[in-house]
Amino acid sequence: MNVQKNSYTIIYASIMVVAVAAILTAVSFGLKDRQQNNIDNEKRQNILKTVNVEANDENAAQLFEQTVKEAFVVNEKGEIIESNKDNAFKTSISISDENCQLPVFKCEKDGKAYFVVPLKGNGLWGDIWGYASLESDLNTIAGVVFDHASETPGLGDKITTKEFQQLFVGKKLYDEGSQDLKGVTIYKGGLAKNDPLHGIDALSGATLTSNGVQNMINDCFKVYQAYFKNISTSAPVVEQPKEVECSDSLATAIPACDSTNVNTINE
Amino acid sequence: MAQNNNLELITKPLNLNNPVTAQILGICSALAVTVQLEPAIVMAISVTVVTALSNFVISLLRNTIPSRIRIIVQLMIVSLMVILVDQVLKAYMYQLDKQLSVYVGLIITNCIVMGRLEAFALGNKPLPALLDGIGNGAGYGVILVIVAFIRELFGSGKLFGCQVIPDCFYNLGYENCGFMLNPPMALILIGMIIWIQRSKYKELQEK
Repeated sequence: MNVQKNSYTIIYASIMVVAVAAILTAVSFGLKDRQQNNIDNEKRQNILKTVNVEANDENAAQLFEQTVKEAFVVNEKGEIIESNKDNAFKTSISISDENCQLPVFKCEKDGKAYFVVPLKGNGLWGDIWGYASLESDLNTIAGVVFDHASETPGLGDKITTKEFQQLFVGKKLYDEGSQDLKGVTIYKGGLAKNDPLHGIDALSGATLTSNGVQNMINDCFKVYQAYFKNISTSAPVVEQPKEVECSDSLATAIPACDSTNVNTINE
Repeated sequence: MAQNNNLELITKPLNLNNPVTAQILGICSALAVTVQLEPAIVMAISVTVVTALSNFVISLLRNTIPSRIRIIVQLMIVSLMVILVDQVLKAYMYQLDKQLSVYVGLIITNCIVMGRLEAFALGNKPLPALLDGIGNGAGYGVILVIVAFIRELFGSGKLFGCQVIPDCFYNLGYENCGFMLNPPMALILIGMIIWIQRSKYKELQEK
């Protein structure tokens, strides 16, 4: 057979395309459930990690059921638009001027309530995302996890490390008595210690990725503000956020107060 | 004799006919994935799988491929293999796949794969082609691992993400070499490997 003929070439190419497409479709369909399961499990693990529950692939679903008591979706006005837990789990955060879809996961661990929200932003090369949990005072960050699509290996991709994520624990979104969202601030050159309430040390060599993380946290909490204001005025558990802050959880919640106390005692 | 030849197909690319240092192929990805040892190793394995399988398939089809569209056919087979590897990694080794992220897809653009298809698989039987693919993938992998070892050790003082340079060195004033983490250093390291190899094996030197 003459394999150089035009008709042969065209037929050969067509068969090839169809065959390759068929193989890819079959593989994609065959592995779809497994892949989706992996993605869901990772999401569960990430949400659990923000409230300090370590889960693996096997027990993620079970621990998630135990820890996450409620999940719902709110909009930018703070109204609940979806209250089914499974649907809320499947919803990804979308931030826009109107029709925001903002999932909230209400967790309970050791008798304490936490609010976990998803985060979404831009790093240096691509998307970054993650989850952050707030303590019931709706001000103190209890834990964060970050992930990224394509930050520089060895530099920007360190946002996924425990060391970096640990820096956010205990930081405040608001100054005491103030209603203006301050969020977190990234400092270069180790200056974050001068701002114990909001300051985070930047990753060296990855300033732009660090700034991306800062903007992601501040932008995302901004759209959740309406919802958190709503529940802090209505829900009895968090009725007096400011009083709770300064009396009850003094030592753990406010590093600044804590260190001044220690200093006075020492002197 | 045939056995000897087959063995050579695997051993030669490891040294004298190394795709990176002798054929100067696949340099770009060698720069990108060698900051740390672990992704470098997974990348090396993935490239070996893709090169071997596509060499094998193209060699099976070699007498049926019209020469005018052979590059397109090769490209299609390579992309098919890469997507399959990516899909399988996503389903069974999710964490690893996440670490490699874009690099798995970029295997398609690795010149070694296409280079071996053109130079070897189109003119040889399936078994030698398969071995040639494995050999060249491994040859690429060796260089990747050497470069990644040096870069991770001196760039961040770690191997496989664990600290190996003890704290007392840092206390004495030792510092990690940040330049190691940047792509130019990978190019310089590959250059040095080529230099060492060529001064040892005179036959590789161009006249």
